[in-house]
Amino acid sequence: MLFKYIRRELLLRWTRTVLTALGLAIGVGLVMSIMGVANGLSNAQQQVLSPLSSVGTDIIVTRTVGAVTTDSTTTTNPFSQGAGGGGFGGGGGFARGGGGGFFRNGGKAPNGTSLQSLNSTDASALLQANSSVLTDLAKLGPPGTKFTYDFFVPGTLITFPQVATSIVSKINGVSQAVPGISLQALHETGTVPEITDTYTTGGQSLSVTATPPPLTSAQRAQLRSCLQSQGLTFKQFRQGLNSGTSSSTSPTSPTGNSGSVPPASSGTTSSPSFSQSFLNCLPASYQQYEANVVVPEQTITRVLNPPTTNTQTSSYTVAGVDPNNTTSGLITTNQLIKGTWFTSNPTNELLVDSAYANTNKISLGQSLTIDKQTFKVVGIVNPSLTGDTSDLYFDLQTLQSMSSNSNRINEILVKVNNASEVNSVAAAIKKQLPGAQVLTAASLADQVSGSLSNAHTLASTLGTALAIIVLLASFLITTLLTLSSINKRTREIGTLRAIGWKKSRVLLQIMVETIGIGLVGLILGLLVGYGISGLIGAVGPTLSSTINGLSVGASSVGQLFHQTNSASSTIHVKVTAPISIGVILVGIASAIAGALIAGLFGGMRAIRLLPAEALRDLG
Amino acid sequence: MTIISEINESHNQDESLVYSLKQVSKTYKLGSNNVNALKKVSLDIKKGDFVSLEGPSGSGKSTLLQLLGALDSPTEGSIKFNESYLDKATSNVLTDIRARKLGFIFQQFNLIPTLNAIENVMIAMVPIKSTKQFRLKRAQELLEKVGLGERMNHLPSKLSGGEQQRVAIARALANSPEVLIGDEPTGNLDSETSAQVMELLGNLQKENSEVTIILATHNPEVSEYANTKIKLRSGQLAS
Repeated sequence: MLFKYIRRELLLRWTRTVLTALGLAIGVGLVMSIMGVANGLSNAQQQVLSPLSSVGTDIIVTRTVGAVTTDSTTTTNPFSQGAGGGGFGGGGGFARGGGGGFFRNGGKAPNGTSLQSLNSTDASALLQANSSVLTDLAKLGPPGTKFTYDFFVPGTLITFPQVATSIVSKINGVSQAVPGISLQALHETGTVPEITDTYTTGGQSLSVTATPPPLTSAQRAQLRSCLQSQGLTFKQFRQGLNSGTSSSTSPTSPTGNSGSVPPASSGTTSSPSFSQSFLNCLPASYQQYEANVVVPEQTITRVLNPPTTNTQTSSYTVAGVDPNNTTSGLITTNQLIKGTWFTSNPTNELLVDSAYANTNKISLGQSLTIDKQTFKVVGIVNPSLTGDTSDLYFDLQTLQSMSSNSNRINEILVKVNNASEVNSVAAAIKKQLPGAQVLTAASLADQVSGSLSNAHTLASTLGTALAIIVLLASFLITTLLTLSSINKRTREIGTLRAIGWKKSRVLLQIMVETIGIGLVGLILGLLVGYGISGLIGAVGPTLSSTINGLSVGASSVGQLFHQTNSASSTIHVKVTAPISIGVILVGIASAIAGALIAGLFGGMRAIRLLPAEALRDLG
Repeated sequence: MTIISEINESHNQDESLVYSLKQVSKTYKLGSNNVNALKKVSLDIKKGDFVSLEGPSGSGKSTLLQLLGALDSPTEGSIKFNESYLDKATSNVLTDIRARKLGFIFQQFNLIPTLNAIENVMIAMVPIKSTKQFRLKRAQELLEKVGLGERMNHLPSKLSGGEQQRVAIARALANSPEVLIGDEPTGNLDSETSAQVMELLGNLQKENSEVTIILATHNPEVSEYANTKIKLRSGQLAS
């Protein structure tokens, strides 16, 4: 009877039912939408943060330049003292450097004063590590030679000896430590240009003044005897000299008859003969004068226009993974969406990121030539380690040798036994590997910024407040509509009381009726909620999230080539408002709460009505 | 015969009395003013009587009906109903008395608009513990008795005024009450229908002489059915 009455009340007074239910439904729907958006943002953030756990990793150990406090006193090459010993010096051409402090004391904590900045060792190590990309055109071959090169550089993630992995794996609480190397690759193709330069020299005019040395006594004696042998006396010589100077006759060589003896007669007439004799008797060095002339030094600076090259540079990211570890690492078998994992002979095999494969039209089974080696694409993957995804995944050893990084890595992916141990393990790693940057999900969360983070904060604070306000408003509306309905039913309720219905039964009737309305409201509210959720999904804005410090490889080198403009990773996430079980439960709870509140107020109002109201003549 | 008198001690012990009122006053607070709706009214009503309550508006007619119907309690005085004193009874006891002993007929019929005829009758049996089958059977019997056997599944809005009032009478009779209390039961009916309703009530009493009928009315035709006429003026009995 009771339920028939309630059903009739709800069905026959359907306008009231729908109106009241709508009041509740809008509240429920809006609350669900708000929660959905908050969930969506939470999921989006999870999507950004979860990579750590989703790839079976709890901690990432890297060595990022400038990201940690380093020891300013570090001056030696840290890697020559690296934990576990040397042997890392090889690897042709790849400049060795290292971050200050990392492994410096063989795993002991550095002592000395700390410097809150990038130290000079770090800076030079970074430059050295990335120097191989500076192409020297002269070394590429004769002009006209076509070249294709792939350079692998670690970017901001300095490499370190792979033996660090075993150090980490020995830390208490670590279940697994997997080595990985993430590199920035630069692909350059082009033709060696001809470098020419044209210049003209000569045409300089030089003016030299030289003073011959005076005659030695031997030369003087020789001259005298020579003159005598020519029949000239010294007296004549002196006269000759005098007439020679006064007669203004130049001592030009007259005749070639050196053997003829000039007549010792009048001075004036004997002059030419005398001069000739004199000249013949001069020392050889006076007859033909020599001097060393030094032209004043001058520096000529010329501007050479660099040759126009057709060199094209493209960049991509590569990673080296341990093919034997399929569950943990930079890429795992879980993320394989097509093809297979590395085979037992992974040297010439590649896994390609699906997005990169799509963009570059790379298909499964295709052969790619990288750095003059041929690789076969064995699998397409969908990496989820956000901020640390690569376009191509190589076998670790292959990439190490290609990039001249034998036995060197720049990432360790650590899995702990127990989630609660993450922080203690992280601290132990920092202690064991001074200068290491230890990234956990929690520390990653702190680095997330951008509109996503803002929106999430907004959704969780303002959203909660908004949800409460909306819900309260909705409850108020529902209650007021219920009270209004009770007031309209004064006579009916008075009659029920008059014919013997107890207060408790009237209260129950009104409560159950209102709960029935609440159920209708819930159904409508779910529709509203799903509707708004769908609408948000359809037209929802895209938010971006920026993660600082996790960007691997690209940043610094990228900046050199103006390829990226920040050392952070930005992820764009479309806002959705997924309706989860939790959201539905909140919707149900809201509807029931609203119905109970309205029912209680309505019921209380109803039982306060006097049974005598039944007799009141309202007409 | 009827007893409309000053206090008669002997009547208090009379088993034939269904009501015995002594010095009953009812004061309403209307703002800061006290309105004395009833002033020290004493009267007895005999079992099986057909009583009409008459008087102009504001005479205290409705107040008296409410007190007799256990819908309200007096400010002063005592109301003895059978062996119970209504003035001392709790709200729950009054509710129970209304459910089991009293039947109400209203000027506006006061049917539940969302329930059909048979359901409106059955709803009166809700407070009494009984099976659904019993209620259904009882409601059918009563509706047939009031001549609505064919219209049991009609909503009140599909019934005429007279039919609605007959449903209301069936509802009032549902729990076999000792007293039928009517507030202007023919007030909204035309004279022909009024006559039918009054005839119905008269027949009921003929069937069961134990049933007391108390009707408040302005209608002289209704009061003609009454054996006893209680006239009120300004909250007091007017003889």
